[in-house]
Amino acid sequence: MQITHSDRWLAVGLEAQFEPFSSQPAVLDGYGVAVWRGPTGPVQVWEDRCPHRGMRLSFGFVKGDRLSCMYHGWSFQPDGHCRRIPAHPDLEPPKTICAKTFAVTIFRGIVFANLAAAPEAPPPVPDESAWAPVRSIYVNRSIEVVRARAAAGAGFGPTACDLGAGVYEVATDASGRVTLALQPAEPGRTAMHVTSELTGSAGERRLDIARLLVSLRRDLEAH
Amino acid sequence: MSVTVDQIALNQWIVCAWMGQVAPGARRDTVVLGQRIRLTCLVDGALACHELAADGSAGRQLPLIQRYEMVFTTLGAEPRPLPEIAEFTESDRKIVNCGSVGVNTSPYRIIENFLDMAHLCFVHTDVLGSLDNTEVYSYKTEHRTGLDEVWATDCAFFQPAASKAAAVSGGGQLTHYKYRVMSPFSVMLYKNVYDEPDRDDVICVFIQPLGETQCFAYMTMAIVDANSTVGELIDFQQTIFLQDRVILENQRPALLPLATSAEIPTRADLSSIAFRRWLKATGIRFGILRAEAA
Repeated sequence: MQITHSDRWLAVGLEAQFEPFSSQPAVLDGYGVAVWRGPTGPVQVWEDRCPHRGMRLSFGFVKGDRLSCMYHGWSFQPDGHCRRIPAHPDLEPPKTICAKTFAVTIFRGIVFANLAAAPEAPPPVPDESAWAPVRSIYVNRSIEVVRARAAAGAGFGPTACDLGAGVYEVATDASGRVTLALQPAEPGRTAMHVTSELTGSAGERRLDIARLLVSLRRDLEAH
Repeated sequence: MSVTVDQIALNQWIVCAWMGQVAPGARRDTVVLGQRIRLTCLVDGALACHELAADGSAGRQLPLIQRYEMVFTTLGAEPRPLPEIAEFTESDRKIVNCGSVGVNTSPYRIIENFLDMAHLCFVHTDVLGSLDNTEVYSYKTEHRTGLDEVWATDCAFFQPAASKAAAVSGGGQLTHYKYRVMSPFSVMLYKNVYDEPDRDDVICVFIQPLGETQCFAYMTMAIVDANSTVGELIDFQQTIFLQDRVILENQRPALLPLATSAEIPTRADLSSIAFRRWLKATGIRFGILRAEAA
């Protein structure tokens, strides 16, 4: 089944949330992906489907730098190629057996993926600042509703700067900037991924930001 | 949910309860192929089955067959006959009714999983397979044209605890299997009895498709095992089946793709390949991924 995805960058989650040796599911605009990470390498975003018999790869196990499917133990290296089929231990898997992989970039501590086959849209470009994860929070509201609120400052201040790719800089005061990235998940459900610029009082500030996000969700879902 | 118009699917005997599920004086409302039905058990134990209309009133009476510990009905005028399974009449066997388990997927994903040896070491680790012995040896498949069934023969797989009896003894064994797809909604296997290599235990799965991706899987067995209780045999099978359910409900798509490019098989999947080819030849559309069926 071929699905054609538009060429755009979608927030997947906080980079810090994806721990080494883990695989977990995410939904990007209704499309299921497996987000996994080996012991050292970058976060990988793949179609959540083993090419063999369709099992979700987010149920898989990470061994070394490979992701193994839970169903038959087929293991895949970071470029998507299958390297081992346990039912045929002596077989060198053909190059045609390949999981579907997507382009990934990190911006301000947030993972973004582009589901297009050949992405041309420029990814958001990082600056020199260091960013700390605050939290991810899901809202039972459509991306349009949440985007309108983010563009209006999301309760952090009177305005926000639209950085593209669903990213808003919602606070710019002296104690550090706050980045809010919106992820369209299932229809009517949106994730907000938030990081704050690392400054002297970062720890305390993050708790305040997290509290503000909870009240933002409550407010969004009440209307 | 509307009733399927697929004539292949309609003309099957479909399990709708296990024997004993509906107590005398009670009834069971359920669904087959999108059609609501009501099973009624009279006080003398006799069963009757009717279609239920949208307003809940009883409509056309449906035929019933009670066999292999199961209750079958059909919505079709000319159903494919129930398969013959001789082992159920052998007097020294334990006939074990394992009841049913709900599984949200298409019936064919359940059948393919049952036919599949390669998953045993990963999904039923240290019971039906071992991570040290993952190889699937070559086996044969055939379409038995007289029965119009798909068989897989000469199957062998190393198992640490192939059955309740084998689990008690320990040590592991090379188990010999034969598999048999008896209809689009039923499958069985023969596996050699733990301490009587010339005889086979029989395990059957009959599937009740409520809709295209909602099923009840019923399991019934004819086992040669003088020592285990029926309760122990049921526990063993239910544990195995619940391990499979995690897989079955997380395959994408749930509908079975028949296009050869949709999913990549290897030699170990010969039985799945033969099953898909046979399904395609029947022309069945119910539970099949649309894009491919077009």
